[in-house]
Amino acid sequence: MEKEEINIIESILNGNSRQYTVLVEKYSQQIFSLIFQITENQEDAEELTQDTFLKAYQNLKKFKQESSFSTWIYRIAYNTAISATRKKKYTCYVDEQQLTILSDVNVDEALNSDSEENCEALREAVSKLDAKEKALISMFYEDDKSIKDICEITLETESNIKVKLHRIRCKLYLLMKGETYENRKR
Amino acid sequence: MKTEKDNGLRKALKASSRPTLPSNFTYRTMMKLEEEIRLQEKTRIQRQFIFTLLVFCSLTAGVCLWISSFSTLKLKDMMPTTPNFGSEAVWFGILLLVLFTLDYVMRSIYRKRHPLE
Repeated sequence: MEKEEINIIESILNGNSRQYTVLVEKYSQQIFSLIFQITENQEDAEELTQDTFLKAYQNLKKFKQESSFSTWIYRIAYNTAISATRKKKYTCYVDEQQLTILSDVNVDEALNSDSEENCEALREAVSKLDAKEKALISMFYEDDKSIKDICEITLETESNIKVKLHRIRCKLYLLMKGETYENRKR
Repeated sequence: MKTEKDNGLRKALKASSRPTLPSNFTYRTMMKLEEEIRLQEKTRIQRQFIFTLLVFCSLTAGVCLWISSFSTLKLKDMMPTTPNFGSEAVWFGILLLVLFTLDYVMRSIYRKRHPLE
C-alpha cells in the first residue's frame, strides 16, 4: 500500500477527518463504475457509492493494512451493491449441459473479436448477467484487477474465481447466441 | 486469459457509456460524513453523561445508605468521635452534580463552535 495512503489513514484516525476527502476524490469514480455496472441505475449507484464511503469511514479502525485500501474499499462496495440488488433479481439461466460441451475455440473467437457489431452484442449479453457476474467481469476486464485482488474483494478462493470467470465467458457466448432461459423476479 | 484473449469483451466493457459522478459528489459525501460524525459524537456524549449520572446516583445512594445506617443501628452512639458530615455529603453531591452538568454544557457549546476538532 502507498505510504502516502497510510499517512492519510493514520491522520484520519487521529481525528483529522477532512483528510478523507483525498480518499473520496481518488476512489469515488472507480467505486461508482463498479456499483453502476452492478445496479445499472445512476441514482442508486450514487447513493450506494456514498454509503460505501460512509461505511469505510466508520470501519476505518478495523482496516488492518493487510491488503491495499483500494481492495478493502472495493470489498465494501461489492458487498453493499450485491446486498442492494439481492431483492431485485433478473437472471438469465443457461443450460448447464451446454456449458460443458461448448468449444473453447468458439468462445475465444466470439469474445476476442473487437468489431463494433460484436462489441454491441457483447454489451447486450453483459447486461443480462446477474449482479455478481457483472461485478466479477467488471473488476477483471474493466478495472484490470488481478485474480488475487478479486479473491480478497469477494472472499472466494482463486480456483473458484477462475471457474466463475470461465463460466461467465461461456454464458456470454450463449447469451450472444440467444440460447438462454429468462426469469424475472421483481 | 487476461493478456491475449477477450479483447472484444474488454473493449465492449471499457467503451460502454458510463455516467460520471457529479462534480460536487465529494463535497456532498463529506457533508454527510460530518453530519454522521456529529451524530456519533452527540450519542457518545449522551452515553457518557448517562453513565456519569448513574455513577453519581449510585455513589449518592451509597452515601445516604451509609449515613442512614448510623442512625438506624445507633452506630453513632458507639462511635462518638465520628464527625457529623451528613449535610456536607449532600452539599458535596450537589456540587458534583452541578459540575457534571456544567462540564456537559461547556462541552456541547465547544463542539457546536468547533464541529470537527
